[in-house]
Amino acid sequence: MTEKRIPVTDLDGLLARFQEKGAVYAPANDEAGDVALAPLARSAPVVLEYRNFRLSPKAFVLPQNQTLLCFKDGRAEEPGLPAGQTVLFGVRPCDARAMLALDKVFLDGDLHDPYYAGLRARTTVIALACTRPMSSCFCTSVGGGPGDGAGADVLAVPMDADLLLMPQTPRGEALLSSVADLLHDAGPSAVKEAQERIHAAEEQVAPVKVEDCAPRLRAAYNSPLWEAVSRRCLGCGTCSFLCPTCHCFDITDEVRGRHGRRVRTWDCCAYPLFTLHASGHNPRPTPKERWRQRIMHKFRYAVENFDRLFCVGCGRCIRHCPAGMDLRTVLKEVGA
Amino acid sequence: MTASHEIETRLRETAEGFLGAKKVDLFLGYEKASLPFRTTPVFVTAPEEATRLAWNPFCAANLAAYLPRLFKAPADAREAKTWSPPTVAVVVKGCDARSVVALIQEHQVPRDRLVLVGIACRGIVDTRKAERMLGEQEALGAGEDVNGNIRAVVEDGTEVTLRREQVLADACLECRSPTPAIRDLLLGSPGEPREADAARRQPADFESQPLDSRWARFQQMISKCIRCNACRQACPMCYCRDCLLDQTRPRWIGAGTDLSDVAIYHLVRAFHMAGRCTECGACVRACPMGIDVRLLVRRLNLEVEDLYGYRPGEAIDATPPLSAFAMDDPQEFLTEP
Repeated sequence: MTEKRIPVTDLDGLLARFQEKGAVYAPANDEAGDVALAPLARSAPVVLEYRNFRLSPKAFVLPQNQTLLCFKDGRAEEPGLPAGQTVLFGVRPCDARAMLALDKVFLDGDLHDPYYAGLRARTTVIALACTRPMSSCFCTSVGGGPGDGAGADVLAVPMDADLLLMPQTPRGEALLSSVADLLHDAGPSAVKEAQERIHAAEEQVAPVKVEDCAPRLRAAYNSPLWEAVSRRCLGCGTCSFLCPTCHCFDITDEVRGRHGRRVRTWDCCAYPLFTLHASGHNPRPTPKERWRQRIMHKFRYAVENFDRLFCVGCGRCIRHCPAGMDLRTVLKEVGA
Repeated sequence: MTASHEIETRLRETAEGFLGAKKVDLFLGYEKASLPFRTTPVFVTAPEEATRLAWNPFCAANLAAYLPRLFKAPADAREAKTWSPPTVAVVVKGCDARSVVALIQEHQVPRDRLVLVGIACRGIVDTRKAERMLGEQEALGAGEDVNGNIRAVVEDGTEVTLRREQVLADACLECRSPTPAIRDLLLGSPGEPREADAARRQPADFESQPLDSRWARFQQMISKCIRCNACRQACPMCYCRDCLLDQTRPRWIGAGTDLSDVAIYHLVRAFHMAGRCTECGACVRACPMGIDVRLLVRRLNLEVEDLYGYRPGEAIDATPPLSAFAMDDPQEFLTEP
């Protein structure tokens, strides 16, 4: 299947058709005036002008709380997954790319995570190419780009009056085929224009030096600079909870009398509790070890174990750090 | 009113002098961050690095939050033997100084190891307010103009002026003591505090609503919470070594974002702040989700002020009401058996 286009005025109709298959989430203004992915609703019109959402869409495949099983009187049962498909429209390419990193951990590694797999299999991602990257963006340095379709099922590129739709996976092709009556063929000139727009956006993204960061980080493991850079860290979890690739979790049993549930929740390497042993020993006792872990995991261990960076350059951790820390600066400071 | 850049120059001179004369081991202040409307804490230990220090309307963090950990002896017994507490100079606004006072009262930091570099504060910018005012335009640079308003250069190269009052943090719009009362030196000339009633408006407005609406408002607010702990970590008064919320044996509160767990988190924090919160608003500015974390704390602090005539952090030798026992305590809130 080739590239398709749809007039922006027909977008609501397109999304309504997707809704026949399951839940559709699209960008809309929330009550505070921020654009966020929200269930498609007549009351909140779909917005196409936005930089990115404050929260990454990772919660759709890795919920912040996920009940793994319920138990009562010595018997356990799995709650199962909610039925139906979910279509996410308007995910930015960086966040779509992040799903590939999550796939590496939960699907392609030594272990196959059925909870993640179930949600991932029912989630279709339509990415919307960026035309206005921000100064905190650095996707082009970490393998992605404003028009990168990796991780998405369909890549949409905003044109003047149209959206160009480019299928990226068989699932994306099937999705577009199912609504073929609403779509028009996009001519080669439209595709060329889309590529030019993407290229113009790429030019706006400031580069960050991360090539060969894995061996350099390996050499910097005992650098005294970790202590210096981590002193500013307050030890909150803003960076990792907003990060589209951070995926560490905790599992706890919530018990009330003879019944309860086993729940998986997001966790974060900036917390002292994250590595606290039952003995009271903590192998990462200070912010120094915890910050080193954060950087090493994304820029070294992920490369060594999965052959990819676990950073997609979305810049959320930079924009929202309450201590004004910048991952890019830290990488430079420790010589990575 | 002293311009920010003049204060910045004096601040750098002061730091250079203190560090050069070995009067302090560490000078804790602010440094320009990589993005506009932001600063990042800087730990200066050498006189030649004093030029990194900045003073501008974006010095939002409460640096008192970094102090308790500086005075904690190393966990390693051998290291602890040779360790002695450092002497630290810290840049404080009115609110930050109140936090330092409260930490001294609660024996978390030693007064004789601190040099309080007070700044006559004119209020600091709430990054989110400023960015929202610019709409879809991103600021590439920001500063202060001669009238104290905020000037931003946006992507298309145009300059936008944001009126200071419109982008000041809520805590600053309610601030009754912007100039540090407890300090070792003061940079800048003191400005006017806000009228005393400014801090009462929001609680009064909230209270005037029926119970159902208040509960709905609270629920709607905390439903955005992602339990990242930024509010707790940014708060100088949240220094407990073993926070109730982190305890696992038993686990008092679920780790996730179920509404009951989130509600408990915010209620516990609010109650622990009664008569202790120094009203800096660092929690609100730290929150990545834009939650007004102070909604309940404002009211609880006023409760203590009205009952005991006490405002946290105003005098080192004052006794915090919740740390004291008095035979003539009115005890009106207790139920007779």
